[in-house]
Amino acid sequence: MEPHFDPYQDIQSEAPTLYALAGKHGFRVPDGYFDQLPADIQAHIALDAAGDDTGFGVPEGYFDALPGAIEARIALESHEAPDAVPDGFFAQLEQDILAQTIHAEPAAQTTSRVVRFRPWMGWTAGVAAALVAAVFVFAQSTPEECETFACLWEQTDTQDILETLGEEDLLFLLDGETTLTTDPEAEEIEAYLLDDETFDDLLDDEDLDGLLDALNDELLRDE
Amino acid sequence: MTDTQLLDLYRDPATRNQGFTKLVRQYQQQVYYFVRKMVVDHDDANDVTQQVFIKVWKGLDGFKGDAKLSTWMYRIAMNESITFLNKQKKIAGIPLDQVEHSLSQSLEADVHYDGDAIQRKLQTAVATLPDKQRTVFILKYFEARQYKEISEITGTSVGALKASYHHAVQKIEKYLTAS
Repeated sequence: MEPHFDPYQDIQSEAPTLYALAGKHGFRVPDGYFDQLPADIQAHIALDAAGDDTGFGVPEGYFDALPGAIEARIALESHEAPDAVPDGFFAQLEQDILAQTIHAEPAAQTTSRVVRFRPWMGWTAGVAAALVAAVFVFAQSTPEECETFACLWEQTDTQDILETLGEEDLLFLLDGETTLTTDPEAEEIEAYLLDDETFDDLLDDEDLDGLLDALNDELLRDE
Repeated sequence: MTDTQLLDLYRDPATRNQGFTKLVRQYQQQVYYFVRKMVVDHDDANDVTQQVFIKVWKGLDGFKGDAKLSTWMYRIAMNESITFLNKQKKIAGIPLDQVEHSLSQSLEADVHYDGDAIQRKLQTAVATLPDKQRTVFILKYFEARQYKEISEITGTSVGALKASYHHAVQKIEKYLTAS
């Protein structure tokens, strides 16, 4: 006769109360629930499939014109706002900050352009300031002298820069509306954000402390 | 019916719907009860379970059979449950003493729950574990899955799973035996 396999044997001595409750959960379902569920799921799938075909039409070219209309409306509302700023204010502010902190880029690399006011420019100024500060903190350890933002970005450990920025700043940089990030840099930022939480991080600090305490107790007992 | 037979039925255009219905019938209880232990409430579990099978329907063509169907579906169910819990954020992260009273009362009033006082206390303790540790605990303790399969479902090492599970066991036992 085969010996009875007890899947809970490993907790019998350390957790007798849990061991006694093994296999019981108390959850019930309404009568006939599992008879009806497959039909409900099929109906849900059919509804999902029909989701795109709603029967609602739009005038020809509507979606081509929509972005422009939204942009115009935003610009109008920005001017109506009591705390509105002059056209190009934030773009100028950004340039002023960069000029004062990195002592201007070489003339050949600077381009002048007319910048229209956009709502994200307030963010740009903040992010630019944060980036410049971060780059300069870590520029102390770069082996070569750098005078431009691009050079510092290249010469400094990107991880060090990324770790100094908030998640909102990083997400904004990923938006692609800023000239501060090129595609490879955006990829590094994205990878950094995605890697922020891995499943291997199963034990939070409290858990880890508990485990270490338990291990210490065990070692003391052995002695 | 074996996984291969189910997949053969599903992959034949003539029996596709029939094959999927059989698959749902075969795995619905396993998926539902796992999700229910994660999210506790029946209506929430019903919503998440349906979402899981919709994901299964959409992903079945790409299923290569590297893992068992049940392992693959547990993985989807885990992801959907954690996504749901993150949206809810009603219980997660709140200290045990604050959530204990309300969850215990709502379980007591739940017509689809018939556990006694100690079982309610157990569910309360499980609900307050961090999401990932809760997943591991439920798969090991309630679903009696092997560490190797849990490792495939969660994508984490067996060593880390054992440490997480045993620490959860200690925490819950301590809570259950406290006066």
